[in-house]
Amino acid sequence: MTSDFFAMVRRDELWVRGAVHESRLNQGQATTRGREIIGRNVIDDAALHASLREVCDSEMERVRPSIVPMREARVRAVVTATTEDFESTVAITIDGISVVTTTDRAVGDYQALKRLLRPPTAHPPTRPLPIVWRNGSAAVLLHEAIGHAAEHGHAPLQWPRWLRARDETRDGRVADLIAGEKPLARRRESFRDVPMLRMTNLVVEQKRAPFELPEERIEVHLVAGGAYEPLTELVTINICLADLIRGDRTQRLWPFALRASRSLISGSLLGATGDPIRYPGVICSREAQEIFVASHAPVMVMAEMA
Amino acid sequence: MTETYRKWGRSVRREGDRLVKVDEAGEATDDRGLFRTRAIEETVDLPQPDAKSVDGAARKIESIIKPPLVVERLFVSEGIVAHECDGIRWNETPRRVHISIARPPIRALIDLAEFQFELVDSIANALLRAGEERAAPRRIRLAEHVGAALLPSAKFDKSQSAAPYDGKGRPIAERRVTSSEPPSWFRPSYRLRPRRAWFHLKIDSFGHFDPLVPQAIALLAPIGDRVVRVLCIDGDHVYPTSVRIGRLVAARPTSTWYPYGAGAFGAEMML
Repeated sequence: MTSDFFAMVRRDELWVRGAVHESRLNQGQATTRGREIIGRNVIDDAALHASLREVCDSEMERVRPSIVPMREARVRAVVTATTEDFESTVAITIDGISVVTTTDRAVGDYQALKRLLRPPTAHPPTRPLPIVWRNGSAAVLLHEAIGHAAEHGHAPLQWPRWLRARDETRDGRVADLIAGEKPLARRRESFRDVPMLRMTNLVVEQKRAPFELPEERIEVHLVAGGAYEPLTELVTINICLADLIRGDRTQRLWPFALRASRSLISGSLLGATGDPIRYPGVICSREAQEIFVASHAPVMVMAEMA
Repeated sequence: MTETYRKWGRSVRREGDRLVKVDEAGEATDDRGLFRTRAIEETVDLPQPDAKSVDGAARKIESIIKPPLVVERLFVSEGIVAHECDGIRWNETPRRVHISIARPPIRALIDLAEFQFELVDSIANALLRAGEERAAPRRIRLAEHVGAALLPSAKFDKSQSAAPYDGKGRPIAERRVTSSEPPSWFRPSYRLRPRRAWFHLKIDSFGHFDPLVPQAIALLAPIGDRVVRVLCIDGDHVYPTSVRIGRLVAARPTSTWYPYGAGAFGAEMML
């Protein structure tokens, strides 16, 4: 198989309150010749088609028993087998708040999401407070501020010396994003799309970082989405699940957005603690292609940003 | 009752410097709420889209946009599509152009349904002259393509224009847009569950335009909630500004169709 040939089969099911509402079977191949990509929704090689289809079907059989009992959620399972990759994700949404996870972790993440959900009781504070990024959520912040900046070829910034951020391809190649290296995997959403250098598995680590928990702070658990504006280098994070902590008092906040330049973010990271925690879900959208990016980061604390 | 929809399509698109040719056919069924889609191998005889024309249009646009402007994003496409829904067959040959022209820190967004370059040229020229951000003028005229982008979401008096087919192959009737459920179905892809939508929107004509009022000639961001970011020409000055979508004092439809929502005709407006 030459590297300019790509074939894929995708199964996608949407389950609502334990019943299937939508089911899709998608397949195709793309051949790149010079600057042309020729795509069709037929896979010429019958044996290849059968094997990709079998991988998808058997994985979907494995996923269904996990998601059928999730009766309080809207659940989308997407299984994609390609000539380059295999990916199985489960997106779970309750009350408009989503996580994206793997088959093996779906049940645990569903239970964790239910435990996290409770009605907001407080508006975001009018004055800036330090932010503690829990649950691996700092990976979303740095996906935007470091990862996308590297994808766009923007000059590296001075990040704290204790911070590491790398992207790992499925075959183990590593790009040092802090040094401005672009991700190494060419990824595409489907056979209709142009492959692009995109992140696959973002791992943020700390090495002997300081860490002190501010008495008064915002603790972020889940984000609804993020964006990196390449013309202004402005990062936006839409935070959907966060708490306001004042001493022993905890109040659930209404959703809010954090907007800051990546240079301000780089200067605001105060410290971190522990090993990287898997964040449940980043579906990254660029050029209208949505791709799952695995994301991990330690608990991180950021100074208040005026 | 099961509804069955099939779509066969051939498309060519220029995306950046790549030319992407896709042949695709698929089927969607809706069986009492269970929506299923799959690729189909059954073919229909469709001509090839004009790849030279697509590539030529992309090259023409690239030739217009010169430094310090940058082509941040360029999609130019032509498709030849056959649809069938419960025995009704129809065809279409859509053309689409999406361009993002950057002059940091701003970008102009252009969406067209035809390969025409005068608008791209005039926006590129204005971007070259653009100065610093300013407050919105007290009154502003919106060029027809800027007004068209507003039509699907803004609560102005508008009508749906008649057309032969919606996403289920049914005729689209001319009628006033109301807050009630739209009667027609929009199906941008066979892989998406169709949804109700108002088609081919047209603004009601009224009022008097003052040609001396500053004009918004390009969108600088997708339409926001009650605010639109535009590039404004005010005499000799060109500047980016944010305009609150307030009361409309004059409006006039044009005959150019734009690919916003389920379609919108050009709408010159004065706010």
